This record gives sequence, structure tokens and C-alpha cells, in this order.
Amino acid sequence: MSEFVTPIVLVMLAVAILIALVRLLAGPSLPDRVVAMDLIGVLTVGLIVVIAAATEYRALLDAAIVIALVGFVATVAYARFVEREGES
Amino acid sequence: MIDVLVAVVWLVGAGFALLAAIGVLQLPDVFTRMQASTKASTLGIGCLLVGAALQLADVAGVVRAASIGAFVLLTSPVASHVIARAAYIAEVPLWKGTKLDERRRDARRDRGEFDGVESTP
Amino acid sequence: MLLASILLALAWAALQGDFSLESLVVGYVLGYLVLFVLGRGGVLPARLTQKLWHATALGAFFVWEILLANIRVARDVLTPSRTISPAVVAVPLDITTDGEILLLSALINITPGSVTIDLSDDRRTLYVHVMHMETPEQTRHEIKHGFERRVHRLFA
Repeated sequence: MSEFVTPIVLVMLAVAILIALVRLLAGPSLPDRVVAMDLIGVLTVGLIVVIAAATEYRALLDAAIVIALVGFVATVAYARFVEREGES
Repeated sequence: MIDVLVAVVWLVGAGFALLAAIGVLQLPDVFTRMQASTKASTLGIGCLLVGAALQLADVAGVVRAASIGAFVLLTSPVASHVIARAAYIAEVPLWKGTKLDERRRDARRDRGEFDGVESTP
Repeated sequence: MLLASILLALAWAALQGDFSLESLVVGYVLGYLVLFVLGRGGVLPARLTQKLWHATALGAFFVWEILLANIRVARDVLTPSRTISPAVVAVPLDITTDGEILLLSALINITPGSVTIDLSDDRRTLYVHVMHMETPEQTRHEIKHGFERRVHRLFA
């Protein structure tokens, strides 16, 4: 069952990342891009979690934790930047 | 049995993640887009993690899945608040269909009390 | 105290990955000792069981709200004609401490369909951007009688 479903789930998540990438490129404002980047980070964590569970390779979960951490710090840093520089 | 449950939970999670991405693409302004992206980090990630915990079904796997969940639950509200606040302060325009902006109204009122002295927005 | 140390014993056994009587007893004794020391030091809240109950009630309400909000926002994304009516609403706060305000805004932010924009300088008004607003009074009522009341009860 899960051998059958895993590829479908992975494709759905990959498509979601592609759609978020369109928003990242389109903008129009900097905060829009930050929202898109944040979403891409969350989706990547989900993707890695699914791969880790499907392949039973638990060390990948640590990679997911690191990506979540870096994504959060990056988002907060960008938000500070937007607040200081104004919209551009 | 567990297999079927994992499959269902994963499909639901990926479905919500996909909906979040579509929302971020097609909603009209940055604030409403943010609402959609919250969906990916709650039910989306939540369902994927529950599925992964069921699939791995051992202590190392479950504890790591739970700690990712706890981490996302702790950080995502902070992240969405800082982006929303920054976007508002940077005066990213609200969608023209926005019905009401009481913060703008209150800011005007507060400036009025100081009688012409322009305060920082 | 009894309930809390049983919970701690179960958590200990789960983390050890072994639910034998031995590890349950060890977990129970350790949990009881830790709670005893914390209680003596005045770190623990006085009515622990009641707090646990309020926390569980808040948690259940929160999960329910998350499910509802996810379905609502999913519908908004899927309907091609826009049915959303976003607004920035000022919510006057009854809660005052940092912890309460932090918890309330975290709950609001994590629920799809609402994001906190700002807290006023006097810390008495929270500005919330919502996806659906019928009237501002209704939105205020939902937040005050939903999350705020429960958060206040947990900290009271």
C-alpha cells in the first residue's frame, strides 16, 4: 500500500514546491517572497519526513530538523530586514 | 491496516500542503496568502509526521517525528507574526476588497491626539 | 500529584522504550521525587490537577479550531469566485501578562485564517488580520470567547 502511495505523495509535495516557487519568483513585494520561501522550507521538511519514513532511514529526520531550524531563522531575519528597509 | 492508515494520513497531509501552495499562488494579498501557508505547517506537516511515526513505529523514529512537530508548532506562529508585522509596517498594500483596517483608524486617532505631531507609523 | 507522577512514569517508560514493571516503578519514583523537590521549591503551581485539566480543555478546543479553520481556508482556496472578506480587527484584551498574550497570539497565528499584525503600545489591543469578517463585533466575540477566555482560565 505505502509503496504505491509514497510516489504520489512525493509528487504532490514536489508540485506544491513548484507552485510556491512561482510565487517566489513573481513577488510582487518582498514579504510575498518571504512567505513563499517560508512555505518552501516547510514543504521541504514534509518531503524529507516522507522519504525518511518510506526508506526507514532515520538520520534523514535530523536533516529535516536542521532545515526547519534554518528556515525559521532565515524567515525572522528577512522579516527584520523588511521592517527596517521598507517595501522594495 | 497500519499501512492503509499511513497512506490515508499522508494523502491528506500532502493534499493540504498542495492547497496551501495553491492558496499562496492565487490569493490576492500578502496577508491572505500567509493564512493559506499556515495550513501547510499545521495540518500538512502534522499529518505527514503522524504518518511517518506510524510507519517507523519505534522510539527513535517517533521521538524525532514528535520533536519536529513540536518545533514547527513553536516556530511557525512566531514566523507568521514577524512577517505579517513587517509587511504591515513596510506598508505592503492590503487587498482592495479588505473590508476594514482598524489599526490604521487607531493610528490616525492617536496621531490626532498629539495635535499635528507626526508620529512614526 | 499522584496523577502527574503516573504520567511521568508512563513518559519515562515510553522514552526508555520498555514498559516493564521495573521501568514503570523507577519512572514513578523519579517522577515523584522531582515533583516533590519542585513543589518544595515553589516552582509548581498550587493546583496542578486543575491546571492540567484546563490545559487539556484548551488543547482539545485548539485541535478542533485547527480542523475547522483548515477546512474553511481550503474551501476559500478552491472556490474560483472570491468569497473571502478579509479585515484588520482591533481586539481589546482582558489578559495582561506577557505569558498570556504570547500564548494567545501563538494560538491565533497557528490557526489558518487569522494572523496577528501588531500589539498596541499600551498592550491592551491586539490587531488581528482575519480572512472572514461579518462584523468586527462578531470577530472580536469569537476571539474573546474562544481562545482568550480559555487562556485566561489556564493562567488564572
